[in-house]
Amino acid sequence: MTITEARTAALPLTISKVDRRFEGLSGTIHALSNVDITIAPSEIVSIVGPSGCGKSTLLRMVAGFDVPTEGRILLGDRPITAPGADRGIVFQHPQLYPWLNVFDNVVFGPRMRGVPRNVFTPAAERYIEIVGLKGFERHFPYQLSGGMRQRLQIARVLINEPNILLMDEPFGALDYQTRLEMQKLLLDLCLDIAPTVLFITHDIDEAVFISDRIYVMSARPGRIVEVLDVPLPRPRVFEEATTNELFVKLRLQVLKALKH
Amino acid sequence: MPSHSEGFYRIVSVAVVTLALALWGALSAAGLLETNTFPPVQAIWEALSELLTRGYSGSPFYVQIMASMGRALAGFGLAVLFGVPLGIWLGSSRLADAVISPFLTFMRPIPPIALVPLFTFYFGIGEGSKVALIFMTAFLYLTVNTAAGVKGIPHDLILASQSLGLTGRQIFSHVVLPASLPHILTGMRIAMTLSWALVVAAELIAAQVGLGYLITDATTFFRIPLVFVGILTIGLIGLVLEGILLMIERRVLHWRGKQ
Repeated sequence: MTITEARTAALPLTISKVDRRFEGLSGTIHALSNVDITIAPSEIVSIVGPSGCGKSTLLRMVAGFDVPTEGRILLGDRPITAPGADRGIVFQHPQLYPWLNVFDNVVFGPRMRGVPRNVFTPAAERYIEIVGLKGFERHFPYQLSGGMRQRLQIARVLINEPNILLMDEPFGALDYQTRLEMQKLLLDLCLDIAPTVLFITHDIDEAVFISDRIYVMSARPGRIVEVLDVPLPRPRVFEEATTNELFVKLRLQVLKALKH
Repeated sequence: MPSHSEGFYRIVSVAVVTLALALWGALSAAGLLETNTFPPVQAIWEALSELLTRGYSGSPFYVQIMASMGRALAGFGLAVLFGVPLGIWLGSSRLADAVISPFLTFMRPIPPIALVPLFTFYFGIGEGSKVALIFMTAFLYLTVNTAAGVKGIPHDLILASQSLGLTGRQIFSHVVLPASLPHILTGMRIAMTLSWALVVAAELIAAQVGLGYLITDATTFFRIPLVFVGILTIGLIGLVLEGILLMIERRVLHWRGKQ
């Protein structure tokens, strides 16, 4: 059951020597400097950094909303030039269509791209169930809680079977308990459909808990100051993982790198 | 202050209106109202039955109503036809906005009535000048409201749509249009009310038929009960028109303002 046209096996993402400068009336803003990141298929990679370090700028370039001033971003061996359904972006504030119900929001992308109904309907049912919205198909976004809206936004990109999920502080606006639930959802997804994920956050615990690898960025211009592998075993359970000795050690390492 | 339910305030409104009508009836029955200043109920009743049976200055009452409705709807319809597309264009093109909006901004505060002499000069004393006046007012309102609706669409929603693989044309028809629909429909409702209210002003331009004509003409002959019937009719029709559009708005836009 394939929804994205010409979808091949999952592709690695390569960000190589990326620089981004914005020319403004008040001079040049150097947002990103010499960023190198490689993400293999099914890896979960987090970028942690202070606000304004350019981590969102980087994600927007991977999404195709913006282009690097220097350097290259490749998906497989093709440079990214425009937005596309092969990369699924999840915004911090869910960008849903308020006039469409849950089901119609989920199938909106495939429907617009001309995927036949008999293909997208079972796919939608599957992803709605995976994100835990079964039974809410006919609800409208305004009838959902913040966490459920975020689940909906995730289902809407998963149905496109993207090569990579781009998540821009996706749980940052949720209350603590909902955030834990969403982190659990993401980890369950990883066991189930194993998506590749580029995850932006400023929550260190979150980064260590969910990631395979963490890139720590400095303040502007954003540079990678530390790369940390997270060899915590999966499946991870929050209560166990966060009390693990390794977790505590990694957490401190990220903290130290941030003060760099 | 103690807060009450919505129902309580609705009851207050109905009660106050009923009380005012009852007071009017009581004053009428007591013979305290002067027919040619503030007419009693029975004078209004007589004027209404006269209008319904014999019409006014050669035209039946319904023809007077239809004449006014026709002008208001023609001006309003043209305004929707031109104002909504222009508004969408201004909302989506910063350059178009920079070129055209200064004129709209200048025109907006000009009271429509100030344009009556000029429009009579331009379009003659026939239907043209009346429809043009209504069109002008409704058009300005609709254009500005529609443009505001398009400008208010979150940029990230457009980006999210691009990311789902939509083409520019699909984003326009399936995202921009529905997302600006609340502003367009509210603009239409208010433009409709304005159009209807302007009929009277438009019919000051040498009209031979219409509710505005009726109340102006009847005033010159001191037939005040007829004037009251005309005004009450304008008010009631205005309420019904607004009610219909409000109903459509609520049904289509149940999701509005709840995001």
